[in-house]
Amino acid sequence: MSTVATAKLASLEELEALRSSIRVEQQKTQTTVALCCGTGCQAYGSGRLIEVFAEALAKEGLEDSVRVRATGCHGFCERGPLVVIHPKGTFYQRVGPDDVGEIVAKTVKQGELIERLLYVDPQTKEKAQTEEQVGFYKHQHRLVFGNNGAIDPKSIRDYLAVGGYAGLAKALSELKPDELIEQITESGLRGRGGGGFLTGRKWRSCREAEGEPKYVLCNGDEGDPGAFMDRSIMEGNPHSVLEGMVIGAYAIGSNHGYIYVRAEYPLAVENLGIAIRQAEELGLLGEDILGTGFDFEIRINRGAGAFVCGESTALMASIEGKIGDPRAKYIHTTDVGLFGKPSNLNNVETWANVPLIVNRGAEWFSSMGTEKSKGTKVFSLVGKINNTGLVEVPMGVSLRDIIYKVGGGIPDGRKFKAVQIGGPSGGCIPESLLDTPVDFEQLTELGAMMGSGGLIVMDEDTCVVDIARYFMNFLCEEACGKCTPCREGTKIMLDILGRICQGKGEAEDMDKLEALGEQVQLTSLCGLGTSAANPVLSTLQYFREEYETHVKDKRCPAGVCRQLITFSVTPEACTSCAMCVKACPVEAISGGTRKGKGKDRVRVPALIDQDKCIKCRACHEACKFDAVVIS
Amino acid sequence: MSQDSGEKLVKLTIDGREVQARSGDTVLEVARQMGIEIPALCYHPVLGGAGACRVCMVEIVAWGRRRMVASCVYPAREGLEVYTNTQKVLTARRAVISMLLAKAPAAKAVQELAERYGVTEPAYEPKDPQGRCILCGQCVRTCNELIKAGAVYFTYRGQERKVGTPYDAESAQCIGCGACQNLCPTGNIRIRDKAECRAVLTWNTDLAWQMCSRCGQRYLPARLVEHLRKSLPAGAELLEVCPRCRREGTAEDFARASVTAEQSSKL
Ligand SMILES: Cc1cc2nc3c(=O)[nH]c(=O)nc-3n(C[C@H](O)[C@H](O)[C@H](O)COP(=O)(O)O)c2cc1C
Ligand code: SF4
Ligand code: FES
Repeated sequence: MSTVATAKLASLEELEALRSSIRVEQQKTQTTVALCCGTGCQAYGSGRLIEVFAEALAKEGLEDSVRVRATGCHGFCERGPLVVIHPKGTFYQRVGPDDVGEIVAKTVKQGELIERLLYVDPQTKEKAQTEEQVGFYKHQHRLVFGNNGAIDPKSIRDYLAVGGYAGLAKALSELKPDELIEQITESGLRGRGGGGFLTGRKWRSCREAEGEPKYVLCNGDEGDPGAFMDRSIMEGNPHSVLEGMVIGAYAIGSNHGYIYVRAEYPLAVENLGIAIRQAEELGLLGEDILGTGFDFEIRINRGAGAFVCGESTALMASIEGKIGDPRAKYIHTTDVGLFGKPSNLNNVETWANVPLIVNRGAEWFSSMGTEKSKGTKVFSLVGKINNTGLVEVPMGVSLRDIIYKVGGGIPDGRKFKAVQIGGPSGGCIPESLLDTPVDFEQLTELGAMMGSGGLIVMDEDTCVVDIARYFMNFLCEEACGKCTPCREGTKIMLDILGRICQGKGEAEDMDKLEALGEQVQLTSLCGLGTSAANPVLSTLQYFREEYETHVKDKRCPAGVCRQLITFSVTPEACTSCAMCVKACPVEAISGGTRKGKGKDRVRVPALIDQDKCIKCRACHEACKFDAVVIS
Repeated sequence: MSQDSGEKLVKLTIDGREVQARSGDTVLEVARQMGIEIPALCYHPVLGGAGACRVCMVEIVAWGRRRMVASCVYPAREGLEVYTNTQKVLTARRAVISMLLAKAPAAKAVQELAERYGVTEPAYEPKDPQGRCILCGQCVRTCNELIKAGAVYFTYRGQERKVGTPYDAESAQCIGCGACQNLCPTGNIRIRDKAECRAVLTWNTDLAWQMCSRCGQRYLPARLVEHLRKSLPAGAELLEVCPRCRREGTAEDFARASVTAEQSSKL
């Protein structure tokens, strides 16, 4: 270990000296086993693999020359636990404890590949040897996520080795606060938390606001169902967020920061806490940062997990110890924010972009993307898609490319139906608009939004009315209840949607939903209410016939809404295997077996008793011959 | 209420009429001074607006953008154009009123607004035909910001949101001052003075009486006397006796007592 490791760095030169010494030391280890320990892979048991690897290496006498690095999320959670063996970058997926001995003996020691652990492309059937060859990674452009697989999030030395805190050093030594703000503005960086506000402009307002102290805040609330990109950044590369915040604080003129992170993210809280302590020990945070005289402290504030607490004013109220209710923002929080003082709030991903821009320049950043949306965006790609996970793509890429190239398309040969983008209050985009590029304005124009980057893919078996009902239910439950239209309006819309799904819809319901949705949009207090109608309005816009079929014909074309469907068996297709009979939890199925002996033995097709059927779909899913049909 | 103390004067127009205002004043206040009526349920002159009920929505044009805002919290700004009566405003107001009518069908203030704006139907079948609370939060703000007793809060979220004491338990903080009842625009808060206590029914709290040290009669809840003693240390000894005994006291006592009475009535 280097001697300067824990001493406070008193200058930029000392930082660079430390970085060089870490690099020299790390080069001594030839081989590194990068083991993904993101939350997804941990759920598959990757935590246990650390020890198993350590033991296996010790057995081979390799414990000193090979390093096992527990990293943050690599994004391809679908195939976890993931292991990447450097320097070759050999990529193994679905690795279990039983595979470890062989990996060490063959791949680590002799560079041999273990075929069965390689990823096979479901379409081309080709095997990928490295991450770059995997379709899921090939079409991505990983900047914010670039280092997740390369560092141990609990090690500041790893972060320094990949160039960490060089952006901070550059900002403090070469740029005046105004120049820094200018650079961020020119880069075109816009907030990744939803609104897409120009980050540089926000910083400028806060810098110019009157009042002391000023606060710099990080929004790690991430309340969207299914979203986990901010989580993966905080867990996998916490120092990138800290570095961004220190740079921002220097630009804005703030000495106090808070990271608001939901308590349901214990690993994020832990890793951020460790990172803060490490950065303080090295003098990269705290008093007199890098000997420049600039002070900045960061505290972690754990939220209780209310969706609305991600809204800026509710978040600030929550940090103040009050109920997380939003308030009017007619006076901006950059003027009157946390504790009534000028405050600058940015999203986790926004902050993580900052060091990259300072390091590589505004021009580099703005060379990626569309006219008004620059850089990359991380999406959490979930739903009816082959490659579930976190994907980072340049702005301007089409939704089609994300779904088919990165996501590998829709599984089981089903047809694509819609993609919900922008979180619960985003919108549903149909097939015909899939060539729309990822761009703040264009998505908003379609009645969706960038939001924080949730992408939920739906196939033909998804009912859009049911989906609208699902999101409305979420928003209705998560609304704070302070303002009338959001509290009452979401409930009324939810009731109407519920009625339609039950086959009790009335002809005027669609117009009612639209009229009500518009009023809720216009009159609500905060962004939750003003965007709450999006899922309903966008599905009405693009899938109105499906609503009409529910209302007029009392039918659910996708076969989802229970009250509107029946299950029956096609006798010709039924092989009498009895799988459905066994699957049915209420014994509604008779027959489905063979009767008699020898020559007299006959097949009796299954028959579903409609009075007993509870429409749980179990028979439909159990049947291997598509004999159970939904109508 | 002023959001910043700046005494800067700004010029704006409301419904085409030009007006000068202090930059901290809200559009609602400026409009009312001009005699333009904008309905408001969660606004009170002492507390300011909460921006919660949304009946005070108006259209504005600011920085070239036209949009709807809650006038009770929107600050007067130089060059602002405000429209309080457009079709869009009326439609929005009616939508909100019909929701409040469903939430609080028994609230007179809401019934009156509904009548004024021609709203005949509640937005949905009311769950509680006797419902009065519109969740304006005036009681919460009175109790916390004005009286500083800290007895009542918003509890639960969304549809379930209510005002009340934590867990609806008897409050150890409520002093029985009745200020919330005074400010509640819908008459939702019930307080009954019984022989043995003042029962603040809405907050599930009973408060024992303080007995007059001269005549032995009950006159105020003991906790309220305690609260006043702490907040008005100067007149502490006057709080020992009931108002009638105070009136019967010396001329000097009388003079000082009336000062105290005035101060406590301001609460
Ligand atoms: C209901 C609601 C929930 C929100 N949740 C989040 C969240 O979880 N994370 C986040 O970064 N921004 C969230 N936002 C957006 C924030 O209010 C704010 O715009 C953002 O944090 C600003 O940072 P940015 O400019 O870097 O995007 C939410 C907004 C609303 C209205
Ligand atoms: S009780 Fe009265 S003051 Fe309190 S929130 Fe309800 S209506 Fe408003
Ligand atoms: S009076 Fe303005 S929102 Fe209630």
